[in-house]
Amino acid sequence: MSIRHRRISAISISPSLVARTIGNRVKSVTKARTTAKVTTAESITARREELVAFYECYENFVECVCDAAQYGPLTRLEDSYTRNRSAALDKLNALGQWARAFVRLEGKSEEIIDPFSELFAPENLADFLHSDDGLSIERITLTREALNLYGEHLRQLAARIS
Amino acid sequence: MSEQETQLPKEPISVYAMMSMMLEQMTELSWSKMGLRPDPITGEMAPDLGEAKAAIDLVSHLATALDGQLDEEDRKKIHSIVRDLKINYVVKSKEAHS
Repeated sequence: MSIRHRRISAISISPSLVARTIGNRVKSVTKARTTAKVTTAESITARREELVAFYECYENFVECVCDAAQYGPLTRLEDSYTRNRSAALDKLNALGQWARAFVRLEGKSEEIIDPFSELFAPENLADFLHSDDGLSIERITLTREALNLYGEHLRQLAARIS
Repeated sequence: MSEQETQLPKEPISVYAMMSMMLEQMTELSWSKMGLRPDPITGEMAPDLGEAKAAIDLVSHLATALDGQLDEEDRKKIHSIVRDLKINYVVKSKEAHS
């Protein structure tokens, strides 16, 4: 047998072993993809739940502020403001990095830099009304739009994975 | 009495069904009185913020009264409508005072 043939024999691997190796590799890749898919789906579901939870206290906060614009800082509105602001800030820690990516500041007032933080900055309702620089509604519009866009983004991600 | 009338099912009127209808009508009227939609009768813009406020307050009260009768999805929709109305009313009020 020539050297070339001997080398080929030396390095040849039985077909069954080749098949098992390729098969294992395909299985492990498929398993990795499935695991990644499940993990991604779980993460998207978790993010959607975070958004829903935040949106509820955010909308209550917005309604409270709008009522106060008409009726002033009534006690029940002050209580609602404190409760919903606290809940929203707590949830904003996790959600903020995602939601802020969807804020569209183009064409808006230059004084607005981070509408989420600015909206929740005043510690009580009386301070909110007192410190209103006329841009609160614009901040509400920006944050609402960002939350809707983020929600749509998550819906599309979930649809792609399923 | 016509044949059609005799065939109509006779059920007691539902207060909640009436309230839902009123809520829809007052919502439309709220948008109209804020000058964001034409008047349903004349087809022209006829803003009146005083009447808008009354309409929005009524929508808010009706939403509260209907809260227990609605499923989660409808409840969220109606609350969203109320908030949209209130936000737009604040915007229009500020425009009127500036």
